[in-house]
Amino acid sequence: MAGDFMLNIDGVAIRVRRLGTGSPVLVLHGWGASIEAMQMIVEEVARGGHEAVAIDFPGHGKSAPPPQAWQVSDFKQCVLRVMDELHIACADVVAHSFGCRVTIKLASENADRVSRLVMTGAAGLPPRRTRGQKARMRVASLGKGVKGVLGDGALSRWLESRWVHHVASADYRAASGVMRSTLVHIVGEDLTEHLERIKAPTILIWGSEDHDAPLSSGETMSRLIPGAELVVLQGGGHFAYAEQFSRFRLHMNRFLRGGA
Amino acid sequence: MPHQNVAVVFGGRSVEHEVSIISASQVMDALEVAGYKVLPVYIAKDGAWYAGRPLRELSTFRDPTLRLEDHSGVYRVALSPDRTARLLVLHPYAKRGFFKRDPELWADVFFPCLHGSFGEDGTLQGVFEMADVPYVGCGVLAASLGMDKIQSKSVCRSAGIRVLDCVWASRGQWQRDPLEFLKRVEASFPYPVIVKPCSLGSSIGVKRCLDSAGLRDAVDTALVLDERVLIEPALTNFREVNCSVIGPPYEASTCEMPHYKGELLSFESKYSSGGKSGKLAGRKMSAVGTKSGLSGAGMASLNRTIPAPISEAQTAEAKRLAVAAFEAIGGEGIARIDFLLDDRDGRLYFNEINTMPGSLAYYLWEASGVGFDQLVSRLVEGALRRSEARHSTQFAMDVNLLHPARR
Repeated sequence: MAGDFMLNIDGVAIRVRRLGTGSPVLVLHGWGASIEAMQMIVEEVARGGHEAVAIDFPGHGKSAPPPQAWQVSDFKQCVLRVMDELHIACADVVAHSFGCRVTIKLASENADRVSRLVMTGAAGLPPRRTRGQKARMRVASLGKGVKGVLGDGALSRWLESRWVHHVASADYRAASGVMRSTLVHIVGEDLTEHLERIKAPTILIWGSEDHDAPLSSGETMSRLIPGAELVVLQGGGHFAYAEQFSRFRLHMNRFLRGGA
Repeated sequence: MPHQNVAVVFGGRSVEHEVSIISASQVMDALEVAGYKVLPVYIAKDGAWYAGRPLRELSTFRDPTLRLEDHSGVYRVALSPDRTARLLVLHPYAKRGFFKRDPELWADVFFPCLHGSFGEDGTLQGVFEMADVPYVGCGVLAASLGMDKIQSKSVCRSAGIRVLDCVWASRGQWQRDPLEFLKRVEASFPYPVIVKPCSLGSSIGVKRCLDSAGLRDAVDTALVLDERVLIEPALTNFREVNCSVIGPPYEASTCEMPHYKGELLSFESKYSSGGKSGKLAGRKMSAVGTKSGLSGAGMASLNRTIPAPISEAQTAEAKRLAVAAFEAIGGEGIARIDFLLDDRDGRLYFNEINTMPGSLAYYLWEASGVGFDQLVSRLVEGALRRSEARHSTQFAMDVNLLHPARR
């Protein structure tokens, strides 16, 4: 089966894209993105003699939003259910940013379902915040206190809208409704403990100039994940995989091939 | 993982200068993924040689006001054919800092990524041979034969490979008696005919002509670009089939069928899809200055179908002929062999052989299950093997015939 189709996973409609034939490779996008952002990886994986299986995470792309605010483990469960539906016992994973949080969870808790992991610009470690960011966070939590006092009235909502504009991250501002609280859950979850439990061979491909998931996170991850290999794409940002795709794909192909 | 230093030589005094920069950038990526250390060696259009780390990045070549020696870490280098010097030495005029260490110019293997003149044609290979350094790809004779469309056809013909008939003339012959040549062409085959410069790549100067006036113009143009020109009958109903070969031991890749608009694949349509910005006269072809963040796709970006939509028997035949052609010229390393498939009778004609195909035809090898990094590793290993084998041939005698004791 190739092409796009919708899967109903416990009441949430999930868009799945399959391309190519061969051993399955899950392709997981970052926060606020969708399958389209990973299309070049999907095509490359398929050209390399695999079956690419990409999904839009709930609340992203053409998938329905989650029924309530989700945690990383809910997203992981969702991926597992998709694999079950498609009769995929075990798959390689190529993931970017937020997709890596799900991958880390999956690989550490369901080791038998994954074989090789390619992670780029991976999120999952607690961010090292600058002084300005810390101050903004304090203001943001002050806002929450004010909201607690005022209740959920019009004044409170207006204040929040002003407040958000000044202190919240771009991701938070772009998210709405249930996805906002989901984002808060996700960003707050530190996955450091999970890293050393990953048994799958892992390659981390990182842009040297990644400001969203700094290279220092990549270095920490490569230390904590047993046997992980770190490849730095010089000059690349958070989307280094797209900016330097010709380099990224060579590393990905070599790694998925299983060679040294 | 290998630890060898590989000097990748690119640029060059050739109309395919920019194409070479892209191919080399891709090859250097693949070499690094395969675990080699890369020393970029760039030949400017004026023929000056440079080496150094900044030449690794495509962005270094995007600046029109480029003065390479101003980049820290770029050095002018010169060639020494003295075999104790390992080819690359610092240029006598190179800027050297009093406190700066001279650059590391050691290379275990040379990997020429040059297309066309002074690189793909045996000239550079001759320098490698003199300096006795291992190098990737064809030797002197195979490279020269591959570059020469007239000679490669005749070598293939004597190896039993079907080629289109051709008539050729040198610039001197043409200037002495153009009418005699036109008569000779017209006596050999009917119009339309194809005019090709003998040794240019990328379809430069190739023209389809319908009558003697058109033929005259096309030959005139071709002989500005090249010293010899060849004329072939134009097939009316044909498709192109390309196949890559590596070795020895020889192995053929999956076949491709390139697609193009218009009658012939022109230089512009080859390297700047759409051809909107592909001005040859411009400083740079659009292939180098592509707006996409992806680092210039070169030959790899051409429209094509892989595997070629031809029958299994035809595919097997194309692969067999590709290996036979590569073997006939005495090829080593890699080549892409281009065939014309006559759709009227299904016959394959050898068209040309490229001993340094654009993007190293990696897309054909990836489709054959050989990763780009594996491909470059095989080529480097092949170069080292050949060099070792060469050293078991004795070229000089240790006996000094001038020594008095010998008399």
